[in-house]
Amino acid sequence: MEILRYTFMQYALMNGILIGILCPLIGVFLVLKNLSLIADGVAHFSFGGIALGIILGISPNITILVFSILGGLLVNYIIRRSKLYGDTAIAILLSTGLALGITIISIAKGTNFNINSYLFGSLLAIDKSELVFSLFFGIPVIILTLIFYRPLLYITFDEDSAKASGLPVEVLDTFLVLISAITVAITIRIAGILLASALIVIPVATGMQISKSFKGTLLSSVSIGVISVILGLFLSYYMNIAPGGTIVLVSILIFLTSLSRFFH
Amino acid sequence: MSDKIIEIKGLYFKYKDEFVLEDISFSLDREEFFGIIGPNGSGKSTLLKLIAGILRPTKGEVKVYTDRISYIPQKVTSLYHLFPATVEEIVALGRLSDGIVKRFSRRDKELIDQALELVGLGEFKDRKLSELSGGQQQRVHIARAIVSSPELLILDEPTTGIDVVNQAKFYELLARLNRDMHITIIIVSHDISGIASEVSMMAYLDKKLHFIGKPRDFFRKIFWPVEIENLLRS
Ligand SMILES: Nc1ncnc2c1ncn2[C@@H]1O[C@H](COP(=O)(O)OP(=O)(O)O)[C@@H](O)[C@H]1O
Ligand SMILES: [Mg+2]
Repeated sequence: MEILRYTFMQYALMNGILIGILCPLIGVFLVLKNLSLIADGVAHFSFGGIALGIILGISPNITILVFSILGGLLVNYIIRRSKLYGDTAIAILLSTGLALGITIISIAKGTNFNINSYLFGSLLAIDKSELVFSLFFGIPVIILTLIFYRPLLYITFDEDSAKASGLPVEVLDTFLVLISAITVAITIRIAGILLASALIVIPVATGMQISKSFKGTLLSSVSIGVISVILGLFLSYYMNIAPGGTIVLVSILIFLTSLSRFFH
Repeated sequence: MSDKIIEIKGLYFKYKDEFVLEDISFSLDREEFFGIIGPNGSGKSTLLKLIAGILRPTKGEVKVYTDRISYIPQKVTSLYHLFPATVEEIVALGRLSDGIVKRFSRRDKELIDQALELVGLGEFKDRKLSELSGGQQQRVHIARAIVSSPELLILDEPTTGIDVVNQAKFYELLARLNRDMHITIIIVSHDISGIASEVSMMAYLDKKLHFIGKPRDFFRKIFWPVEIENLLRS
């Protein structure tokens, strides 16, 4: 494989595979809890964080993470405490982040700030420190999710039953919000704000078409996530097109293929 | 009294401004089979959630002298029609009440198999939950409850949408859990005649507790069955 001789490609591939595993793994719980859009809301919210980081001179890696976590906790709190539907709470969060980001950027007009790399992702520009950052947060999230997958399944399936049988539902719920926020933060560097939720939702939708068990859904979603990243990355390299978009398009193509068996 | 499993004193509950439960007081002994009836919106589901610890009282107290509680919510079947999980995976969730991170042992698998046999779903272990009929799905939830070895089993209108023959079988299964496994059962139902012949205690709830006692006293002293049927329809 000649393309793997390039260090930037190796980094991109490693980081890509990480989110290929991470996004669908967390996504299964979000999709089944009817919270697919939460990732989208959190990603847009962190746009405010990026802008703030730029003008304050703090690394966007950090501000994205902080804003993602804050946004996730906020939306979770709003959904639980107010009478709003989840979608509405997410829409408010999303607008807040975007408005904040746009306003801050307009104030800081002079700064040299490549907004595109955050909106659309920049997988090929990942350097070693960013890869380390992703692995440092991503690997613990994967391990913790696997350790707690049964209780997470229980609160996803039926929160009331889980609570009645003595599970610490609020703690598990907050845990799910935190790992989702971290996942979004890591994914933004790769797929951009606009597509961060794609890998959280699309491979899971595909997995649900082809599996009848929860374990099967989890395994197939993650496999599809990883395949989409690898295929998308290689395609984008050889065809010289944007990697973020290509990866998402590949995952959509796989989803459509999984649907097509119903047309026969 | 040591054989009480539930004690409720002066319980009031509201979601928003208006109380949906007022001045509820009663206690329940272990191993009773307790049926609750009442019109729509009378607070039956709310009372069950308070007993199950899902909601907290606005005023008064709810004491439950066990932490081995299993709860089966209302309308479970329509909720899960897209959920990708097998019967076995759902029943296995019941084992989490013994610890949420422990690995599943051979013993856990045996308990799950036994419970599925008991509810007559041994063959359906690997089937997708949503492919089962409403009655079968209810039995999956019973199996999920059984594997957690509950002392208190709480069911919210479990027989809605199940045909009469299967309803009778379902009540028979509950009676067995109550008698043979010594599980205290609380069930909410619309089906007065079905429930009255099975339960050892029953209550009529409509915001307040209008009756609690033996089923035969309910019919003899309080209402004529026809009147209640009418009341429930209205
Ligand atoms: N989550 C909720 N928020 C606000 N009001 C509720 C909620 N759940 C139930 N209610 C109201 O509380 C009352 C009692 O409801 P419920 O306990 O479900 O009655 P039942 O089970 O007897 O039909 C009803 O008026 C219902 O509209
Ligand atoms: Mg109800």
